[in-house]
Amino acid sequence: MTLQRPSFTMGIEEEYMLVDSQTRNLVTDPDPAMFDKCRELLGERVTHELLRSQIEISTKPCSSLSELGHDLRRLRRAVIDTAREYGMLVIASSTHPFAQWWEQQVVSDERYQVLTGDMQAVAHRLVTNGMHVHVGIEDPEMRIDLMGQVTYFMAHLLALSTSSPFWGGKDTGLKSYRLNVFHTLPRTGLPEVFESWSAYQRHVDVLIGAGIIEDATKIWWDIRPSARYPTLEMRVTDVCTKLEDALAIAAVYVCLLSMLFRLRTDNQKWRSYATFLLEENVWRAQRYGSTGSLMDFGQRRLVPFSELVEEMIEMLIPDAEEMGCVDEVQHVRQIVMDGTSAERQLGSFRRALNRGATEQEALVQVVDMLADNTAANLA
Amino acid sequence: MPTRNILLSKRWSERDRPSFTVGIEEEYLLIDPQTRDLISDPDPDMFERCQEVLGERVTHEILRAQIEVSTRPYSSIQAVGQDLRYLRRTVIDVAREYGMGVIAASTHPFAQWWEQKVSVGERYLMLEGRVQSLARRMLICGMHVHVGIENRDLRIDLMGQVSYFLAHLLALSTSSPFWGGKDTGLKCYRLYVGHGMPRTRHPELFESWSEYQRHIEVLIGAGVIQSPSEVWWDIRPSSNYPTLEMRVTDVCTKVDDAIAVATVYVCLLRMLYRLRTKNQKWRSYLPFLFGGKRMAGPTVRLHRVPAGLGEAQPGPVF
Repeated sequence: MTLQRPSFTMGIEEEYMLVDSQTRNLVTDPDPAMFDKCRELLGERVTHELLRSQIEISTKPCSSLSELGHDLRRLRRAVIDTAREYGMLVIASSTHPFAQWWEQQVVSDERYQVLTGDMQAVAHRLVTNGMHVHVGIEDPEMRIDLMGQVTYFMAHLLALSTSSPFWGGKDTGLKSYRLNVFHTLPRTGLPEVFESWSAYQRHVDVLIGAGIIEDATKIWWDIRPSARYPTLEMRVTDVCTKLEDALAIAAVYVCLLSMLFRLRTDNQKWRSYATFLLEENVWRAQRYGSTGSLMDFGQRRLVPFSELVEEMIEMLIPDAEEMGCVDEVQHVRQIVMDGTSAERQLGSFRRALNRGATEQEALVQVVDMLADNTAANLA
Repeated sequence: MPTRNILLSKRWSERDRPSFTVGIEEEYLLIDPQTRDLISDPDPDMFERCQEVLGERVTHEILRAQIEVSTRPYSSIQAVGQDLRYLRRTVIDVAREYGMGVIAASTHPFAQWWEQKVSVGERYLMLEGRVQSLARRMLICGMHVHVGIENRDLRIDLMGQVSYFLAHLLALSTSSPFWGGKDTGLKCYRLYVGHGMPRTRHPELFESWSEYQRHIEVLIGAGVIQSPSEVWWDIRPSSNYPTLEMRVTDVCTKVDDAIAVATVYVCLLRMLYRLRTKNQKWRSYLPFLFGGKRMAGPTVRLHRVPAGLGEAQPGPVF
């Protein structure tokens, strides 16, 4: 049997925060009618998340980036418009600049009650949003093979997406504090490298058999085989404030998978490195976002992220041409030039302080910038 | 054939049998006996007095409210226990002279981390430069147990196998259920805080000392870290001594518990060494399964506790 090219269909899930348009703080107890209205408009494409102040949307699986962009725009717009009717703003950022986690309320859904019962304070602290990108890879063996290789690039994708520099009103010094909060959950971080689908399955079954988890949805690695769809689900990224940034990251992710598939058809593969080393890069992406440097393990040196991005674009052009997303892939250059959401939030915060604003006023301005950027270019 | 096997293992054991010496490091918190809160800025004379008595065996930690002791290496548990008792007693007596109490717990029940003062030193400033807000949050104390394993390849081999038991050692030691005045619902919140740092948790599985060294040198060569002491795994080859340093445990409040945990650790290593001389080894599992990677999770909770964080207090909680 010849090697089948996977469908490489794409879907994006984004989590947003609901903000009071007066105080700009999180709305701890939003009017349930708002969610019902979203449901009327979007059906199953909109869902609750752990906290009542969060809302999640997921696109349908799309076969092109332009179709994906169209669907994501439609979903963002519907949520923002509905929220506005109920006096709320929507921000796409992975932490709220000044909300306090202990003031939030957990959704009264059994799944989340079980989670907080199990994880205690660790779960209550999860006032964080992510972006997940699903890519269709129908053959489970291929899914596991490509997962093991694309793990190398989780740091690069994270660096492009960072949007959580603040926590409880403080500049944490990190660009993605969300991942720091999230990675303290068990079963997170980079996945193990598995030889085959059955090896993966066997390991998951050990935990299920012992009654530690009910199913593979409780494995929260930065990348995982979806438990519900025949997809490889990338979960390392912060949610992007600008929709174009989200699409660019989805485009890079799908092109990386296409590139790795291409290598495979040429009897090649991406070189494996110890998780210990790859995690160092994830940490660097968390700490420095797109303004720092990552290890190039082939060259054994730190390379400025802006250079890595150029190399990555060049490497992915054949795949971007095949998938029809050259513009989207090249947009990552723009992310590095303009800064990620985290870098723009910090810029806005510092500019406001320099103009004489108090810290709280400056943080409110950051929320306004986030709300504006979240709603930009949705037409 | 059996004779040959015995001879081989004998040769191995004669040349490379580890000394299995044991040393214990403990970190304590200094508290005000009146308010029971941490003393964020203790009288420096207290530390100097400790050093007069104990010399290099007492050191500063990141925060001024902390103090660290380390025993000498001993070849018997009785001797290391005696030394640990002596160190604890001395620090407690000196602290009392200066109107302070000493608690051996991995978190203070209600102290707030942002109110603490750091021991300003080059080491701390470098740490803060690298990890930012995470450094200030390290209001946590641990217990480290060093065991002498002179052969470096054996050190790496036993590290890979004994990792299986880090969860068990942690479960015996937990002493940090509270954080900033809240019942966190976990028995060991310290590890949850500590694991927020890079290069923590479970070590990679290495085939040999040279493979371990090669990986560390990749980071040093690129300027990401300056020395192996910046690798903070739950167990690691010590960068100062020919020892395997177990670091996963909370500090035990009772000295007898600390000695028991150290005893179990050294006996585990001895058991694994014994297996090796019989051409056997502990079976390897992926870190994903034994939870070595994220042990602050349910593996450390011996009993379920009711949900709920109680009343919240305002404050910058990272």
